[in-house]
Amino acid sequence: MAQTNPPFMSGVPELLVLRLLAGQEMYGYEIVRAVKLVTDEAISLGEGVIYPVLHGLEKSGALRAKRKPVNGRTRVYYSLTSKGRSRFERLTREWDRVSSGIHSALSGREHAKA
Amino acid sequence: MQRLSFHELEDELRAVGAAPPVIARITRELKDHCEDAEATAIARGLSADVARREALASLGSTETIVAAVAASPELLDWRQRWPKSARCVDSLAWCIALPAAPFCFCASHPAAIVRWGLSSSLAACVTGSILFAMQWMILISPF
Repeated sequence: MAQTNPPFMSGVPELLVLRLLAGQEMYGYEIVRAVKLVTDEAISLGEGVIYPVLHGLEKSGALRAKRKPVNGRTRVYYSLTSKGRSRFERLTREWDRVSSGIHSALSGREHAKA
Repeated sequence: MQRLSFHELEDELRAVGAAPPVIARITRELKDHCEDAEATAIARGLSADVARREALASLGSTETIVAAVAASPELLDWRQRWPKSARCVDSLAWCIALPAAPFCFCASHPAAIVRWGLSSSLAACVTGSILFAMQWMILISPF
């Protein structure tokens, strides 16, 4: 059975989506597959959760959605706007700050044990 | 594992106050996603039935998706986002609708209004005549 994500994962799907869309435009299913690929399946998203995240980011102006006909079907492709790009940079900085803080706290605990 | 039902999902999204266009779009994209996942699973050699079940399971539960929508205020209906404004608009609408209702009814049912007016006038005439006659009977009475 796949591991579930811990509760502190809130906000991670948004960061991953912004990271992936910074490179190229993608549709929902493609994003989910890319998340699995780039995280070595360490992060398991309920795949349906990606759409509220995408729509929320689109409503806030961070993403742009465009319908494209592909093989007789219409796919919704998402791409990053300039607002999304600055949001991604801000979130990355925050992530780096928090993760380095947690890392040093955990390392400190290890030192304390030793 | 609990399987996602699109009808149930739509009902649950309505219940948390998601905007109707958001409900329609999320459901459509989830269905497309499910078709893609199903096609991938069939290409891996699974039977159509197993592929369908696996694709639905991969979407996650209704509760998870609904919780993700409810956590994004921008995906909710304006009534859900600004309940005080919605109450003000509702009150204003009632203030306009209630006095306007009789006028609208008259405009749309002129024949009924004419009948009602004639019968009311006739009833007033009959009652008035009876009262008039009684008054005169009192006045001209020798007792």
